[in-house]
This record gives sequence, structure tokens and C-alpha cells, in this order.
Amino acid sequence: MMRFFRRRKPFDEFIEAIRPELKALPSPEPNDSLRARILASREAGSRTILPDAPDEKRSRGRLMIGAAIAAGLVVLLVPIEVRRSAIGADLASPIAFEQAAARTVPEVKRPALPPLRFTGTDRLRSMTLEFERRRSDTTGRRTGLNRIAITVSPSSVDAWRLVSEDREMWPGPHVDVETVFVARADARLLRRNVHMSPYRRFERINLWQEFPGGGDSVTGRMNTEGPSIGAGRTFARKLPPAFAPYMSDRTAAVLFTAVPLRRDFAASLSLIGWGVRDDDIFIPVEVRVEGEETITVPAGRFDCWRLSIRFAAGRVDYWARKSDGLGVRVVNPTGQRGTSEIVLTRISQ
Amino acid sequence: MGLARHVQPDPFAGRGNHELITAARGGSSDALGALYDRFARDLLGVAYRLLQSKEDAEDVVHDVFVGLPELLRKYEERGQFGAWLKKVAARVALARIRETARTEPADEMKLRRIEPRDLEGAISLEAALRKLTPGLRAVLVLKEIEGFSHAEVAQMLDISVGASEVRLHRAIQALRTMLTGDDR
Repeated sequence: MMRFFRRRKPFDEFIEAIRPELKALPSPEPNDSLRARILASREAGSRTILPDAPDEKRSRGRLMIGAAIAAGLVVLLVPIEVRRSAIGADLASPIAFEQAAARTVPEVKRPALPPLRFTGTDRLRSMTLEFERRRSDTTGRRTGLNRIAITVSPSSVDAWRLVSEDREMWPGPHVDVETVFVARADARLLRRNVHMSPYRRFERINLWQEFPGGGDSVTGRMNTEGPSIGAGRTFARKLPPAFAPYMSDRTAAVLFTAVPLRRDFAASLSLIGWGVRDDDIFIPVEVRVEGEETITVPAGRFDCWRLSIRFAAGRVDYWARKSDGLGVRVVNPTGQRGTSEIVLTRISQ
Repeated sequence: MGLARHVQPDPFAGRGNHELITAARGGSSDALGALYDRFARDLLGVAYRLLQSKEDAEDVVHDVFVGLPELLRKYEERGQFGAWLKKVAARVALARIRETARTEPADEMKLRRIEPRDLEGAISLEAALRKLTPGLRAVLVLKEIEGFSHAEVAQMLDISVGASEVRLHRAIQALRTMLTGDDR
């Protein structure tokens, strides 16, 4: 601490010396085209909700609450066309539709296929599934190895709790834990928490979602831990009934046990995103049974339905055990960074 | 549009901010345009210094003016309008930085490491400012260029006053290292 204070004088002198130059740094000039764009946007009915800049007389508590709400609103409501869309792999799925859920298409056609229905929820039971995910780049070179465990347990008389723990063994370390609560009656999403560590330059990112109104919306908040200049964000999004049911992609390996798969099966559903950004709310997918195959994975040899799962950015191939619909193998041949294969390594009750 | 504006008389010429604010609050495009003419330069300046991108800065100013009539309904006209508006623009720019920081590729972040001058030759103040991380640059810009207090900076960044002071110290240290090669 003493060293800090001893060094203040040269620092003060330095900043005083450069302050005039700092203030004189050039910046863009306002122009008529920007003025015209603003007035045209207003004329066209565009609106943005801005953060207020409260004056000093309000209490600090009110200031903090107001700032938090405003910060959330500005992120949510600044029109998408003026925001830079930087699609990232926010939801690198451990189990099925890798890179899919980060790519919600804001203006999408209504699904052509009938909605998927979880009519066999009585088949859900307590269990743990273990998987291994192997990633390769476009040249076939191995680029990553993850071990994934999905545990299903009763949460209450009305809900199941599904916990997915994804550990990147190599190049890692990276841990990604998601807990999803679904209704026992119809597998409807009730609550979802995601914790990823590390996440880009943050030590950890946390997401809490709830699905009120019988699942017609998603609300929640997100925050980061570790070096950060930002506070958390809150969000509230409508989930259009036309795109239901909504499902977390991590739960597919288990929840497809509640779907009566058959030779001519075809249905639509939507994968839920994080809801924080406009382009990551949900992504519609189509699921079709394409054939029947017997495959061998580390957990054993199984007769399977081979499904295709298609979404705007590509498709994944998915093998579900015929006897109970459990996910056995997933191959993503269309990933931007190569291929990904997930195989079932162990089932325990 | 630009030509028409110069040919037609400005209906708010000589009027005070209060009248403009009242009219803009009521939805007057002319008043909004007049506010743009008066304050856009300052807002572009603060947004550009925070974002280091002309396009992003213009987007911020666009968003501020598009939402301004509604926000003015909450403005209590207690302090200086220009300072208040600049604070709004700074907040919008900071929200954009947060958005970018969450999605920015890790490799891009690495490019912003601070290198002493002797590694890459002389460096301008502008280039040095650009090399600062967004978090450090935000505090430096808001405190030293825009003249906000540490309390205001802390409020805008949602950090403590102490954290704002520490970031300013680090920002100055980083600038000093880049500009003088002195990293003591």
C-alpha cells in the first residue's frame, strides 16, 4: 500500500501532462446522414428504451435498482438491426444439437410438422447416463474430449430433476453444469440453471431461467463472476405456442424416452436458448426417424432408431435405443469447426 | 435531407434547451433534430472514445436520439441537460461494450495485451488508448476526458468507487508503460 502512495505523484504528473492531449483526441463529426437516419427511425416507429441518468438527489439504493433495470432494458430493447449480431457457441451442447441453440432465427416460419408430444412420461425413471464426446477438426485431427454425466432424479411429486455435468478433459479444463426441472406429466420446462466455468474471459457465467404461465414465456437473469465490467442482466421473453414444445437440448437423451418413436415418426420442437440476447431465445428443429440400425458403443450393442434432427444451421444424426428411446449416439457432421461424436459409455440406475 | 435542412429556417433557432426538450417530449421531429444539432457532437465524442469505433459510436447516438423523446418524460431538468444526455450516451455505449465483451473471441482479447514502447517503437496516445482493455479505457475516458467523478463513474459501471480508482490507476500505468516504456 505504501508503494502505491509513493507512486501517486509521478502518476498524477503523468496524467496531468497528457490530459490536454487526451481531451483533444479527434472524434467523428456528426453528419446529416446520421441525423436523417434518426428521424427516419422515429418516423418508422422505432423506439429504444434508454437507461436513465438519475440526478444526485435520489438515494443510492434507488439509483442502483434503476440502473440495473435500465441496463437490462437497453440490452433487450435496442432494435436488433442496430446491434451487432455476434453469434457464438453460447450453448455448446454436450448431448445433441451442438451449436444449434445459439442460433435462434428471429423471423422463422411456423413449423410444418406436428409438435412433438411427450405422451410416455410414465417411462421416465431415476438413472445416470454417462457419455463421451470426441471432437475433431475438419482434417480429422482430434481437438477435444469431454465426459458427460446426466442424472435423472425425482424433484417432487410433480417434477423430475435432470442434471447434466459436462467436463472437458482435454484441452480443458472446462466444467459446464446444467440443471433442468421438467413437469412429470408432460415434460414441460419448469426451471433451468446453467453454470459454465470458465466462460470466455470470465471465471464463470451463471444463468437462471423460469418458465411461468404454463411455459408461455421465459424469464430470468444472467451474471458473470471474475473480471468483469458488467452487472448481471435480466430478461423476459415470450415463447410462442406455435413453436412448442420447448426443450433444453441437454435433456434430449433422456426425454426422448417419453416420445413414442416409430418408423414414420416426424415432429417439431424448439430448443430453448439463454434468452439474454435477441438472437438466442429458441431455435425450431425438426425430428424425423430415418431408419433402423444396430450400433455398438462403449455401453453395449443396441438396436436403434436413427433420427435426423434438422435446424436452420444444419443437422445432427441421432441414435435412440428402440427399447426405451435412450440416446445412444449423436454425430454432428455439420459443425463449423469439424465434427463431434457423442457416445453412451455407461448406464446406471 | 441535409440540403433541405440548411435551406429551411430552423424553427428553434435562438430558443433555449427547455423549449426544445418540451417540444421533443411531445414528439416534435424538428425539436429532436435541433437537439441533435446541439448535442450530437458531444455524444459522438464520448461514445467514440469509449467504443473506439465510428460505426458503433454512431449506432449509440442513433439509439439515444431514437429513444430520447420517451426518456425526456422522466427527465426532471434539475441539472445541466448536456451533462445528463452525455451520461445517457455513456451508459448506452457501456451496455454495448458489455455485449461485445461477452461475445468477443478470446484471440481478439489477447491482441490487446500491453506492450512497452521498446517492443514496437513509438506509439501515439490514440493508439495507446485503443490498446487499453474496455474496462480500463472506460474509467479513463469517463473520469479524465469527460470529467465525471469517481462516484459517477462507479455508478455507470456498476462498480465501487474504490474499484473505479484502482482501474484509473491501472489505466494510467498502462498508458505510461506504452508511451514511455516505464513500467515501474
